[in-house]
Amino acid sequence: MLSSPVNPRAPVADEADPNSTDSGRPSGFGGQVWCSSLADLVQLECLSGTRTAVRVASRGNEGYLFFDRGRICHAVCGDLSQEDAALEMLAWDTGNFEQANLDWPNRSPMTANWQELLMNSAQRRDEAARPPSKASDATPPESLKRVVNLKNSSAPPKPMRPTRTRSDAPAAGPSARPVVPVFPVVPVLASPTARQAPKASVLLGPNGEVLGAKGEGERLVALGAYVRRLCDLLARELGGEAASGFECLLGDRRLLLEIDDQGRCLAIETQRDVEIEVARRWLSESPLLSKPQAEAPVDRSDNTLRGRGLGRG
Amino acid sequence: MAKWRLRELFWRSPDDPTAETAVEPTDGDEPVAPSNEPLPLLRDVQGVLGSLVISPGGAVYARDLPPNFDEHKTARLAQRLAQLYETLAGEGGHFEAGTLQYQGHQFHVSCADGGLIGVLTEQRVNLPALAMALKVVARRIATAQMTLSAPRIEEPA
Repeated sequence: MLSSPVNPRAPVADEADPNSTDSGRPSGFGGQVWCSSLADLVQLECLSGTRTAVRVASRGNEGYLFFDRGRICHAVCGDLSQEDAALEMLAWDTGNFEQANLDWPNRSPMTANWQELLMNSAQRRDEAARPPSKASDATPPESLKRVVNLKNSSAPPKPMRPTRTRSDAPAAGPSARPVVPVFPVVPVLASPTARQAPKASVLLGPNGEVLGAKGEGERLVALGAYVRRLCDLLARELGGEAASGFECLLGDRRLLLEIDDQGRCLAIETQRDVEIEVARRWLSESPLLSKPQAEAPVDRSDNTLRGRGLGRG
Repeated sequence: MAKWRLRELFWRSPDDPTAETAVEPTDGDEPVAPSNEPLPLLRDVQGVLGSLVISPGGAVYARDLPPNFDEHKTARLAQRLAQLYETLAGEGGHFEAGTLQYQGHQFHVSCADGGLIGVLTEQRVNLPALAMALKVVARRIATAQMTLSAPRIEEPA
């Protein structure tokens, strides 16, 4: 949990007339904000589109996040900066935050948007909490489910609330953090990468040797190799030389094969409801295909997937 | 759906005066002649070069393929297609449809009642239109099957 340090019992700034600036204080509201995670704060700040700097402290560590026009522009945390710093802070599970009156960093803003940062952070946290052997599991991590609005989520999507009406953050004093109304976290657009990841993928050499596998790729080895051979034969019957690709629907699964110029065949199995374009993107962007060819085929006689690239996430 | 139904739809007795040249069937039944009625519909779609209908066992029920696909070649193609279907259907999932890509062409396979429809196309084909045309063809097949399977009412003597 992260909280702003403002005492909720302290007098609220300009309670009688929020718009008054007679006292020199900025307009707006004051109060306590309690966020279940720093990700909530990031969403609130980015959705409000304000320009502000926030100091985050946790267990003796501290860092700064700089928000401007719906983006995290800069982040600093110890020796880390930008994305690394932001991810470091987002990994903290408890602490305090407050608005900081800092000079704006003089460097080019971060390229990653806040949604990517939150998802990367959530994924890192879940992977760190998971046993190493399950790190490549395609199931979306729990914290990711919280952050993104998964397409197949059983819960109905929450309606978008109107964005805050708070005007630009005042160039406030160090302790006068304007109050942010607490409202449900607005779901972020679903990312296809988590839920739609292939269930299994395997890269086969021209003679069926396994060059790499991911997920449950082992069970695709024989099927992929034989289907590829049949596709070649079918292509010949149809007047061609060899197949270059094949895709089919098999019950609740979708099987895709792509054969490259070197005769390697990448077989990927996804869920049926994965959009075909997404599935094809998995084929074309698969890290398996970009790997250099293995020096020697994997010995499959022991029925395991040992060797170069096998079983690695 | 029973295999014979699809077969009955596409094959006619050689005694039928409208029948074309008799073709030896590959699954051992009496010689019958092909009726390719619904298949030319698919050629209406841009990029479609031809099509055929086969049984899951590889018997050719109907064909509307380019002239270079003679009887022998078509039979071999059907056997390969059946082999692929058998492989995929045996992997625990119901095979519904597939697309093979090879040198500038595609071969689409769609599962119909009691058989498979294969469609040869160019690389650039109007896929949504092809999907719809396949639905229409499949519907025609289903309608014809229902007609064939309906009990006949004998006229009183």
